[in-house]
Amino acid sequence: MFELPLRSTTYVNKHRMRERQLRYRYINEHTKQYTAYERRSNREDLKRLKRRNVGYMTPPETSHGEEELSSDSEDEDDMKNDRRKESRRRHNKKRKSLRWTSLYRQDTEELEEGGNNAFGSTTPDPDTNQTDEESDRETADDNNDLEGEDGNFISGKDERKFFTIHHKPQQTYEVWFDPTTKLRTPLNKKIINFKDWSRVQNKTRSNMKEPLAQASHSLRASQKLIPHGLYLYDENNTSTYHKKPTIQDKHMETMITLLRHHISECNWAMSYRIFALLIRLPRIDIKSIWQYGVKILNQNKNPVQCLQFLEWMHSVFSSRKSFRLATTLQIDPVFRGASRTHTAQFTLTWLWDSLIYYSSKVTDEEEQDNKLEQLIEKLNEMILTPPFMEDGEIWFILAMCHMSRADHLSIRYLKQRESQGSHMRAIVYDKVIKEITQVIKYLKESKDRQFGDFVFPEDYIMRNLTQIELRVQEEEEEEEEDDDDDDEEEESEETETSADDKSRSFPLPTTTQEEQYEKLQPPQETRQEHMPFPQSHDVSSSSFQVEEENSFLQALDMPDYLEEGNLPQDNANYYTNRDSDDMEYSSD
Amino acid sequence: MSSTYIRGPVCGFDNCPSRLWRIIAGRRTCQYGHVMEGDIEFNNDDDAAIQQSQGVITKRLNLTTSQTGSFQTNLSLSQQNLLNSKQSKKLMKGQKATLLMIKCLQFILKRQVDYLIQRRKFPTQFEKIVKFIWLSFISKHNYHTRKMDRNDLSLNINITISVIYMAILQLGLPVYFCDLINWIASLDFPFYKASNIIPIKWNENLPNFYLLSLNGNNLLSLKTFTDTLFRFNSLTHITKFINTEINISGLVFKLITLTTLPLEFYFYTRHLVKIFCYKEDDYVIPIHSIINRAGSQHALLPETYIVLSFILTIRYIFLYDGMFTSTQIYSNEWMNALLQTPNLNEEDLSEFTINRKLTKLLNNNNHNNNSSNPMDWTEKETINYLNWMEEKFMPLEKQNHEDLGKLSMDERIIYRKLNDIIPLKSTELQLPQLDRHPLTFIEELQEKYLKLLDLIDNSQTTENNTNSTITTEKDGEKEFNERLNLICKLENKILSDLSNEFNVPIKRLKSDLSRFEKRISYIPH
Repeated sequence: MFELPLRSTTYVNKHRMRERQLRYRYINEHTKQYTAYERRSNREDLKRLKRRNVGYMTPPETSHGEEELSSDSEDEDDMKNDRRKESRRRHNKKRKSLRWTSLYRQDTEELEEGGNNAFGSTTPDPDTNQTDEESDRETADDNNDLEGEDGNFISGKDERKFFTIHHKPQQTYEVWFDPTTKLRTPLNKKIINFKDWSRVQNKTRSNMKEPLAQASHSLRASQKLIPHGLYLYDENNTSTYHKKPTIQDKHMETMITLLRHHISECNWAMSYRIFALLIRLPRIDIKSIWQYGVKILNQNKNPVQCLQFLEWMHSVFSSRKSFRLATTLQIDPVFRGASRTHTAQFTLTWLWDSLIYYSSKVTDEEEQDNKLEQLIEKLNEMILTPPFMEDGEIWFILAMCHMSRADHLSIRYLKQRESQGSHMRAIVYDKVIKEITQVIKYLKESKDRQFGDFVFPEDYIMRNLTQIELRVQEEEEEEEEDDDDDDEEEESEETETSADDKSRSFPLPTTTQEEQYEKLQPPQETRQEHMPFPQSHDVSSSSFQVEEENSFLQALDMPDYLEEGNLPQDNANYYTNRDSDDMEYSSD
Repeated sequence: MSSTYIRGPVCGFDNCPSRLWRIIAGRRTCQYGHVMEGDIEFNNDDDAAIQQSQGVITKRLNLTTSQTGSFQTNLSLSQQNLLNSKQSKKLMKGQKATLLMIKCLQFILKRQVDYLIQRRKFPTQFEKIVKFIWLSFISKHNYHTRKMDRNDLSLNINITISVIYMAILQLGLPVYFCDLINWIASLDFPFYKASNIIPIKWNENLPNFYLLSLNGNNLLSLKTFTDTLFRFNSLTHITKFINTEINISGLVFKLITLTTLPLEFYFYTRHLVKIFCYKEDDYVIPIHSIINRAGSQHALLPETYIVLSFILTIRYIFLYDGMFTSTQIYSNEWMNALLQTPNLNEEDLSEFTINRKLTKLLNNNNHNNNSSNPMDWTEKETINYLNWMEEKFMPLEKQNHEDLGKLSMDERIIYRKLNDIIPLKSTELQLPQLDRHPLTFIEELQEKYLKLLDLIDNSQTTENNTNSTITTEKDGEKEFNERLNLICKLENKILSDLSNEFNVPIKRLKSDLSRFEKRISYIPH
């Protein structure tokens, strides 16, 4: 977990490799079992709920998650018969192949999993995952029966040989998300009881028996400790060094310990100095410690330094190379660097940070325009090259650039409305509309390339876009129609909103704007106006993008995912499509 | 055909002055039609394979100019390797390499001696004696034969240390193994990364195997030191010609200052050493030692004899204190005070103590309580360490990287940029400045003893207030146990201190101690 960020090209530590492999295998297995359990229990809950609610209207107190599920359950009923048949067929097939899988499973499974987590790009496979929970129950029992046969099937020596040859580095990476759980997971409110928990654990344990059979004594011991949250204390530090630590190793270790310690103590001056020193040491791998650097540099009052550093990272560690699993054995690809198919985290951080900085922190208008222009140019360039071309997040950032530009244009127009003539309004209007069409275009592109856990609230953005459009659109009519008094009121309120803008993002509709909106829009759509803005929903660490929307121009705190190990979990709450619920609330 | 020219290097073919280039049929051609050689490059992307399946093939030339203005092609890995292999250094082999290695060792030895004479104020005769010993080594070393015996001395940087140690013995200087280690750990003494010191030409010619053994990557442990020393002596037979008796009084005095014991212990130890080490050989480095691999060789070193007898002296003095006299000389409070390490002002540590701390950091033998944990450091301590890092450690690391031309031009520019972005001292996040007025060794020693006295005074005043209890027999037994406990603690503390000082695992030191006790029991009366 806390390996030294040294360039480890010189040696391959076999012990560490095996240990990591087993550890992540256990973790992956456990999450798999747990999600299976969760899905199962969800379905049972549904049945119970249905039985209870026959002939009644859904009570208004029912929570949002359950309502959503009840709507889903109808579809599920239709599907059930088909699925049962399919599962039976699959089960028979599985039985036949179980002998082989016991030997080969490790490889085939890991290939699938590794593909998912290394690049996050594989498409979800609904068929296999939906039947998982049913087949799992049966296979868990069958596994125990068949174990004896497996032993006779092939001798232990050959098996060991087989596994030593076929080491897959993907096995040493943890699976961070499961694409099938996307959007459908309700809030996790349930408490797991001990019986179920032990069942989940037992299953995992029985599945782990197989890889552990070849493991050494110390590995087995460490494996036993992991469920209890413990680690083996390594007196001679064999996991970090394959030999006696040298003078250099010792000093590096001390420096890294100091860095981590002082960051945890929020002693920024000290950690800056340590970081500056570490960067200058040739043996240190900057790609492994850039997160610390961003965290430290963000404490500076001048965030340009941090942006410069991230830009440097982006330009130096390009994503031209394709990531070769065969040669880069020991390194996780995800946070360290980039590849042909994978955008580097530091690039994304750089883009987000610079967007937020330029659109909110820079006060000078001209400079802001220039910087945003530069950023858009940069993004337009990036979009032409492979890893960024296929990354929805990059497209989304581009869309947001245009959106913030439209926002600034409209607000500036509002401020200077009096001094400018009607022809200016037309020009500004054209500009804003142009930007808005760009935003919509890029959002569509982004949606086409959506995968992984990157989701954005489209409706919210669209609503804000209409707000922006309205700002420019209606002023003329306002001026013509309304009296002078109204105008003054409006101005004062609007200046307020524009002042708010700097801190809040897109302005929430003020009363006057609402009225205008109601006047203009056809009556059916007025309902939308009362819809509460989705500010109150739970924002977890994973839905960083959603949070981004809420506090779009707000000062950016370090996104959690930048910190090592704090990765988006698959059971996190995604932004769910709330519109239907909100409609119901409003009708009540 | 595009007629756009790209500015590049001077053509130079038949004194052609053209700097402008264009591409004709995939060849870089100058204004006057000279074709540049070896600059064709196709991009072998994966995309090409995809496009091939669709029937369309495009091949582009990637032309960019590097910082120096010359064309820079995105060479593929294999091409780069080819280029590198042409420039690869000429490695020496066999006898020549061994000769060169001995040359390098001599060069390093010269630097080490210079350091000792200039910085550590060694007498100037030291150089002559080192020369004498080194000559005896060269004359005996059979570099012309290929066969290596198991007991042979392998060429290593540790040899220079043995030469210096033997010279120290001849002059009878009060410098011991622990001092040498401290100097090595402080990186002042040319030992760590010593391959940087030798001339670059030699460095290029020396095989990697020898370069690694010149690096001095590990801190010298007592075991490897004795091992090389004994091998060295058995090869050169130098012990016949020079003095090999160690300077006992210096070592005993050093041990006492390290542990801040009162000075009467000096006499106790001197007296007991005479009894314990009754054989004459005990003060002398053994001439022909049996080279065994069991690992207890360092017990044969006179230094270890004296350290062990010093520990035993402390034990016996405390145990028999108060048995033959009515009052105890060393009270329990006094021992308690000794157990607490006096906290010195970290700003004004002498160089000696700082070096000791570094040694402690590098010493990986004791994991439990004694090895210094960077998490427990105070702010000043950390700043001191970081300053040391910047001044001493970083230049050595960088030198190794830059001088040998491992970095290309582009890489150098890249790293310079990074250094500009993140300067060593930031304008906003600033650390408090330390004004260091380092004490001399003697001043620090004074302070240590004064602080110890203060501690003793404090504990005695608190003791006087509670000293009104009546002593019974039970109390006497309890008191005795308490005292035993204290003695054990004190001995453990001193043991772990000394194990750090001499870079010996504490387990080994303890086992040596028990063996030494057994030996004493056979002393003829």
